[in-house]
Amino acid sequence: MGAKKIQPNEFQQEELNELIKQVDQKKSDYLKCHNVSSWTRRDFLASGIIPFAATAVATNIGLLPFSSSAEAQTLCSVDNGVSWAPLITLNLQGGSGLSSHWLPLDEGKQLLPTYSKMGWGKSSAFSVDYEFANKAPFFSGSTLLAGIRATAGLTSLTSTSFVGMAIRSQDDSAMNKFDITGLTKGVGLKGKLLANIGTLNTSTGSATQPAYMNPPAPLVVSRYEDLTGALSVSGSLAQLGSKERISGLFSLIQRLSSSQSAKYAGYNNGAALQRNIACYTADNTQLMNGNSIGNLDPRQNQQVATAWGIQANTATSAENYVFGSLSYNALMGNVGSVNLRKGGYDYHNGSRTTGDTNDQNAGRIIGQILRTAEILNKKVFILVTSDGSVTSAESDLPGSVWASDGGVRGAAYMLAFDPSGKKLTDVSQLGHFTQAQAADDRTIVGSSPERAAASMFINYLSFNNRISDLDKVLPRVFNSDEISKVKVIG
Amino acid sequence: MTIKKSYINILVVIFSISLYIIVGGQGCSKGFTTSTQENSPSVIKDLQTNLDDEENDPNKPSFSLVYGKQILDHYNSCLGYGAVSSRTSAMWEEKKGTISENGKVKSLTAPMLVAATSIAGEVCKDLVDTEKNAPRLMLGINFNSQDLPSSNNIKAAIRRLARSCWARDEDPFESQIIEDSLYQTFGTTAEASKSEKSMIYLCTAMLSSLDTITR
Repeated sequence: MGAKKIQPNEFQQEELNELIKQVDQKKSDYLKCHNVSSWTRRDFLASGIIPFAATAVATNIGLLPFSSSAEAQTLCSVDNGVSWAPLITLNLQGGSGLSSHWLPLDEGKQLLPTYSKMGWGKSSAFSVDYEFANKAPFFSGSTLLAGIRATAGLTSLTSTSFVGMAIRSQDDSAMNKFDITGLTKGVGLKGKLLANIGTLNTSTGSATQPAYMNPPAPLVVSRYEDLTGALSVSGSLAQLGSKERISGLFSLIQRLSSSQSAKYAGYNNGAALQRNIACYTADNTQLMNGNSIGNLDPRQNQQVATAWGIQANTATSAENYVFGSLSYNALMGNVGSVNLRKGGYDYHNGSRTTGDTNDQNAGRIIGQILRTAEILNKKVFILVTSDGSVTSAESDLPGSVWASDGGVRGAAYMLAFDPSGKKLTDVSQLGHFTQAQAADDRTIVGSSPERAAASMFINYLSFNNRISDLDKVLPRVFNSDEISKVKVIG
Repeated sequence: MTIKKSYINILVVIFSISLYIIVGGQGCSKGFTTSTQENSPSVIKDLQTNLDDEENDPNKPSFSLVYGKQILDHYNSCLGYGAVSSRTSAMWEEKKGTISENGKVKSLTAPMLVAATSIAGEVCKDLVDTEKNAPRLMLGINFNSQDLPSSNNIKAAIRRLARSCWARDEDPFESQIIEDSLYQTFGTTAEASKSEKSMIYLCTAMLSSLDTITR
């Protein structure tokens, strides 16, 4: 009647043949061992075939939906949990003057009389620039903002909400507890391939300490090959010989593991284990067969490559290639969170040049991340942190040189990009600065990077519409009144 | 009527066996998987995160995946060959970023299984190097041979590795697919160090399979 003839695939047929063969073998073994020739129900029970068959049938029924690589691939690509926006944190190590780009206001959201220790002089001496969907104020002439504008693109900017946070932090120290990747893992953020990645060989992958909860060990990436290397075999296995042997090995592991997973059906999380094992071992077999799980190289998307300035001959250890690869894979869902650490921010060298240049470069990276999210049409949550800040030689005029550290003038940024263009907040500041040109340490976020990090986490949850998950990992850190004060995004 | 015929045949076989089970009842026979289940269950504490979307029925047994550095220690311990080589430690360092740090099922990823396999490959190379001088798990094997070991020697190695790392005997199905895979993958052509390579292959597959990485 024109209907398509349905054939069992090779795998299904093979599994069934194997099952029948095993039942026959069990029967034969039993008859031999017990020296009997006839086969009674009692014998059948005593042989253990029933539970064996039950297991085998369950196994095969369980495996049928995953029997082809393509089907398993489809199954595995389905997120059975919440779809989280990736988290990308840019850590500027050394003490970037973040509060000298974003313009911090006082408690009443008014300009301070002077920013003479922050490189901008009296309030009457500079003008204010507004950017992003929520019109966040910046010092006009901010090189960091110029960097963002140079790479982000107009749509990215108008679809992003920006919040500056006034936070005192320790100068020139990797001990500030700004890292929230442990918290985000605690509520379920994980990539399809890797949970979290960093660019520095520390517990967080960055020059920060974990806030409240340790993250899983990050994969430390200093060149693109570190990323691909984590997804391939090397060492002694590479000496086994041909690619077919490696493929054969993973196929064998797939079959062994799938058959072994059946026994966990009655265990807590047994069903999840069966599913994951079926999916991931099939993924790996396919990967080793040369069928990549997915191309991790940002160069596969020409627009993304262009956004990061990646050419065919760009060194794989170049910062733009590494940061571009990690951001791209976070946005593609392959990686849950990414920590990008950038050095060179202890720049109080008696000039303004180094700081302006380095901050512009930081801005370019922020813009490149936003532009990538725009190209891929994905939401993203970006944090920008540093250890301490800078103090300028006191002057009533803008442009004064950076003279010393300035941890009391510390700041951090949150940026939330939603490709739908939805405006996520009217607020552009958490905490505030005092007349002494310092972050007020009496605010919820002002004196403690860790509490500030908790506030960032609350906003990450809110951005993902999952504020209800807060108590899973941060019970009783904030009371409800405090939560309502720090939750400004989403 | 030919439409779906093959598929219907499959369903008939499955249904028949299932029906037999239901009608026949379980009786008092010892289950196919009983021994493993008795050996492996343990209540695992929430080690790091607090994912309350994990199933936690007190009436069900629990298990955990080996996690973090445990993987290397666990491999080494179950094979019992002593010190880990610097090559193996280096592999662990290279791959540790992909390995779960809490043992939860939902922390399992495909790269973690690749990492476990890569680490197992080095551990198995260490094992084979040790076995060359003092055979204990791979008896009677000439590691210099250009051919595969005999079927009996392969079976014996599977048995000993299963008892060491699966805490049980292998079942016939497992033994058969391992042997079949060896013959299919390595073929019959003579090749330098084929015996050694095949034992690394066999050991790696068993160490990377689910029953070794759960507890």
